Amino acid sequence: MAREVEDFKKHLLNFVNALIAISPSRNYVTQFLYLIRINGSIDYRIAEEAYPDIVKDDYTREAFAKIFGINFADKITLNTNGYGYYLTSFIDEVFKLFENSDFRGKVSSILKDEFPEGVPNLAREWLEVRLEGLKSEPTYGQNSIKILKEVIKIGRLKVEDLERKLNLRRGYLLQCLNLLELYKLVERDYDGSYKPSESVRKYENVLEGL
Amino acid sequence: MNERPRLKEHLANLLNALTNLSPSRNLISQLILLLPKDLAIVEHSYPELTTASAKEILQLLGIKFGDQVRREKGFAEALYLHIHKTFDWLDNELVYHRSGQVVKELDVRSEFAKLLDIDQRNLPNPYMEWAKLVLRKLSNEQLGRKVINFIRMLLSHESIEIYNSDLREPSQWDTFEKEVTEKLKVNPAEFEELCRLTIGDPKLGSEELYYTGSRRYTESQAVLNHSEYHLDFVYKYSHYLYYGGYYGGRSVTERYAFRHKETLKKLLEGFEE
Repeated sequence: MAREVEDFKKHLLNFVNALIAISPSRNYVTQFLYLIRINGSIDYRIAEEAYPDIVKDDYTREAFAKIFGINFADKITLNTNGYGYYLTSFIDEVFKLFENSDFRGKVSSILKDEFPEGVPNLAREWLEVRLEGLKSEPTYGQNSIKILKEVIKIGRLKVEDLERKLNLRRGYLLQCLNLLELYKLVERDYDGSYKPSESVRKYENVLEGL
Repeated sequence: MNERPRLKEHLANLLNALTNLSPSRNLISQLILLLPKDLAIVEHSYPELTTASAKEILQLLGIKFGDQVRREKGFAEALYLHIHKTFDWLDNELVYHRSGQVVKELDVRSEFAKLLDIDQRNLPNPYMEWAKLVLRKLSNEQLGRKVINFIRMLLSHESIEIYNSDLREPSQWDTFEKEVTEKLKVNPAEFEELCRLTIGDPKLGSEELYYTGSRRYTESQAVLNHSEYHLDFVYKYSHYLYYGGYYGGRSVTERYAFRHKETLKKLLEGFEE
């Protein structure tokens, strides 16, 4: 029996490590694909700035198009039958699995030497990575965080309210909101107001450290 | 997101992770791929996966244990689909339909190899790894060499017509069956078993690879029935021809066509005739 338990542990570790490795919080390639997926499309210009080594280089861009089924036009999209689309759908399921505290708890108790701090919640980690990415954006980062905190505090805010409260120019403010929308940190409601996205609402305390 | 990561390293990591999730490398994925199975068979074949703690984890993944062990909707089902997509993708076999056109991704391996700056032959191929294990297993089972040779005989054809609504004579499939019966000396029950192991078992579910035309007036349709070990290299291709306008009829031809052909042919070279 001890051998069976050890064998299972080995396979479980391999399995969990593989799932962690494909998470957009750990892999630059899946991060690029997942951002396209959650947004439906990304402006070519924005992607070029955020992922220059994939988008700027003709050779790499064309290879990515063929490998992952990406359409590079003014808007970058995933072909719904391409592997990139399938992979990002699978990542959704990986997030759901790692959000399950029972799963994390059971796996952590079996793999306690390998994960002394417990198995990570990949959905939360992905939020942390997005926030870090946003914060380090040189032009809009700091103010985008301020805007996000304000939106969370009030619950929902219109552009005019934000303009007044934070004393920011409208053009600049809209750029910040675009960035927040790109990272799926805020959502625009039917009346044009902005509210925190579901993942931000779920893991609001992540923002406390920022 | 602001760092300049080493793209090559991240691509290689992704490829390794996807390969490690494949059933030839991981027993959890292997079990998920092969379900449903009787509990007794699972307990015998996978003692590592039927300890109390292993069962708890597997249940959380979406596996239901009863007299029969099966996948439920949830992560296990998502992984099952993902394994198939990855098999096809890394063996240049991802076939689908886009804007009326049938698309087959042929360049995945060569483009990946160029990006990673390695020889294409050194890229992992989860389908090939899995097929190698399955062929070895099949060759050691009751029908043994007959299965191997049956696959060889199937793959020697471009496709085999199984039904033609305009023809009244025996189909190409009838002729093929006769040839197999004579050459491999199999009885009808064995022939049926050979088909179940290779062409597919409808009980294991099917997948529509693509269709052209509309749902009402489908011009062609490709459907894959999964087989017991998911070699999944035979699909049924149907072609419909409409005549006589709205109140007219249609003629139908159905053929078995083959996928993963080159990979399987290469693997079969390692088996005796």
